[in-house]
Amino acid sequence: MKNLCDVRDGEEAAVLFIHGGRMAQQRLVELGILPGERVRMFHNSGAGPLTVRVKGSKLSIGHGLAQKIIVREE
Amino acid sequence: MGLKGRLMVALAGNPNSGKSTIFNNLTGARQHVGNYPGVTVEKKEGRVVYRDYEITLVDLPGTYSLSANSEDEMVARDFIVNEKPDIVVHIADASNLERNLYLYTQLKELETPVVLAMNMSDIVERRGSHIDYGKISGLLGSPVIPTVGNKNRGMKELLDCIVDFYEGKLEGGKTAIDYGEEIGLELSKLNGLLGRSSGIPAEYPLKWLAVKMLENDAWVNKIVAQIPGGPAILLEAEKSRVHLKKHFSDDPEVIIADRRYGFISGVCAGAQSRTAEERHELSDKIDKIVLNRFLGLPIFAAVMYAIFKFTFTFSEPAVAWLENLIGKLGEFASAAIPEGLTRSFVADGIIGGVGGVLGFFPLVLFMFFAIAFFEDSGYMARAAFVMDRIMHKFGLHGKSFLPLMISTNGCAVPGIMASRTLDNKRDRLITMMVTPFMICGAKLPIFALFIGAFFPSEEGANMMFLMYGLSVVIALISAWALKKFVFKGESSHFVMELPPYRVPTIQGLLLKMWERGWLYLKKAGTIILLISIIIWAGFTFPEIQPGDGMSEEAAASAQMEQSFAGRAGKFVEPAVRPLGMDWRDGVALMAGVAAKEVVVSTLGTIYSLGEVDPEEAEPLKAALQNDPSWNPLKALAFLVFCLIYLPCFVAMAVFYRESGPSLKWTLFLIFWTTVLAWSGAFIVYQGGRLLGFGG
Repeated sequence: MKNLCDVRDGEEAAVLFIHGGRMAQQRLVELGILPGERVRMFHNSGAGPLTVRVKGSKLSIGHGLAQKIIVREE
Repeated sequence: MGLKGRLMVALAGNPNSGKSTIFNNLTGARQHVGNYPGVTVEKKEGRVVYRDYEITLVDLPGTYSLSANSEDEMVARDFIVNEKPDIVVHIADASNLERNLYLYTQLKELETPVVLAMNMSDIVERRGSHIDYGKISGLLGSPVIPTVGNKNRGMKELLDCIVDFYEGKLEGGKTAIDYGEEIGLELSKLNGLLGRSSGIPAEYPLKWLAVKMLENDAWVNKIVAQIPGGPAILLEAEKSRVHLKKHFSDDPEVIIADRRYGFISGVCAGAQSRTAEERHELSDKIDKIVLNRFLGLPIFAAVMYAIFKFTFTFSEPAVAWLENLIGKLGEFASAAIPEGLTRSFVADGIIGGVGGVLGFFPLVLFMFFAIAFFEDSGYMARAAFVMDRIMHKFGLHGKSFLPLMISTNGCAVPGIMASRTLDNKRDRLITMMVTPFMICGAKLPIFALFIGAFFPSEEGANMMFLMYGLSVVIALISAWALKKFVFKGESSHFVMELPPYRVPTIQGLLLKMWERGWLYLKKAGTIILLISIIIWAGFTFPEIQPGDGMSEEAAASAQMEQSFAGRAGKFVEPAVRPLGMDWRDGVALMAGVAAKEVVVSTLGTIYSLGEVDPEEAEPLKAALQNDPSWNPLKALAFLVFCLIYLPCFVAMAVFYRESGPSLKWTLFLIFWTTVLAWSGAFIVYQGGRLLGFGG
């Protein structure tokens, strides 16, 4: 299974589920990352935080948290 | 003319939605606005009289939701639930509508009367997109007003709308979010149970409680547990959750969020035309470089360096001019007032003390201007991104960077409060614990004074940059140690919005510079003045009779040594001796706990009192240079001590309040900073001497 860290720059992916605690989940959901949502990778250097585009805004997400976001690449 | 009534209006909205700008436009209040999350950490109030109503506006912290996961969300939610404002104005970034309206759905669930301000509506038009405001108002069930906060457009319309809505001339409907049949069924079941039980505080809408129980909201669960029959209802709610989880194979809170977004997309699809896919091409191009794995950090360092270079280079002539002017003023006062207590009070106590702090006013203004530029452009959030990797290694994360940054050149008090945006208590405590290490606006004069006196001007900016670097290093190492030995455990997650870059407006920058600069002046004219007078009195009393045959200079120094302040200094001298300092420095450091500028004003008073011949009076900088007890090594040790030691009283009080309140952690903070400061200064001074530096 792929997580958000596996998505390369410019690629798009759909969120399948978030494999994290309640708090992490809620934080992501209120920023627009929830199951079914499509995100586009803006910047992923392979280490450290990455930046995705979702619902018209740019979010930076820490590496640890990004690993918990399970996605399906489109 | 009599008032028709009083209204309480709360402003809610996402960070970066321009909420604080609108608050300022409406109230004319002078307060801080920044293009980065977490600026409004405490609610702020302002007043405006409009159409015979006295409207109290409350600016709530910027939040993405009301789920109360962090302190700032709690503040916003508690206010809306407990204070029951007459109207909540939701400020939404119209150029980023879907995400912004998520908060709106939660406000409506709370059944508060909402007026929606669609801010930055000009950006939408410029993009060639179009929003049908009438239609969206109907679909959302609230009055909608387009605004452009930074151009001050739509403010009158917004106020009219607020008053009309209050007077009942405008209709607001109930927003029916369709949660779907499955969830709807469970909701009405819980709703019924809640309706039959008594003792639910009237301020909580039943339906909202039901939704929150399905979302497993800890705060609401606690409320329900306290009403008669509450535990049984909670049990039912748990059953519903289990049922829904089985049905959807996902947590109910995720499904509910999904339904809220579903409602929003429906509204947007019906009222918004999208002729062009939204793009921030320039922002993207800048981000590709600024966020780059290899370039990110060097760019960040370069930006910081540019700020210091700019500040020191350009402020130097102004600082020299002002110092000179203050010197002249001192000479004039000495000449005009006959010798005695009054002359000493004015020349040594007031001009000697406060003058030293005021002399750095131009420097502070330049620094505020540079920092404001950095904040308003939107780079701050990028800096947090870039720093996340480093912060992570030391047990913090990118979000902790913001409190540190606010404290740098600003003040540790809002810095400590900004740590409210962190989700996790441990992260919060660590961040609060290291925030006071930053060089705040009050510490800046100390550094400017000693660097100016002991390091030639070409080295000045570099030395300053080095000290800032040192403050970050000390904060990071402390964080690491605290994490390792005191606050063990996982740190919470880092997720933050990167707002589009904006070109700061000159008026905005000047306003911000002036607001902060004015605070600096005000502090110098009030608190610093008061403490300077106390310090002067501490050195002047009790008056001693000079012994026979004593030279004037010997008499002056004997007076200082045997005064109250002198005796206190002598008392702590053994503790600071190993750091190369004497009793006078000890007094300055002790007094500095009241407010950090006081270190400078106290030294000013001491050197002014020690100078017998008023004609010889020289600026503090020159006095320090000419004093044989000072040398660059001692100055460096002194600065290291000032960098680390005890936060000022106000910062400590805020730390106490924000940490729980916890006396334990406050005492720990005092202990920790004292030990660290002493050790740091000891290593610098004694190490430097071993290496052959200094006297």
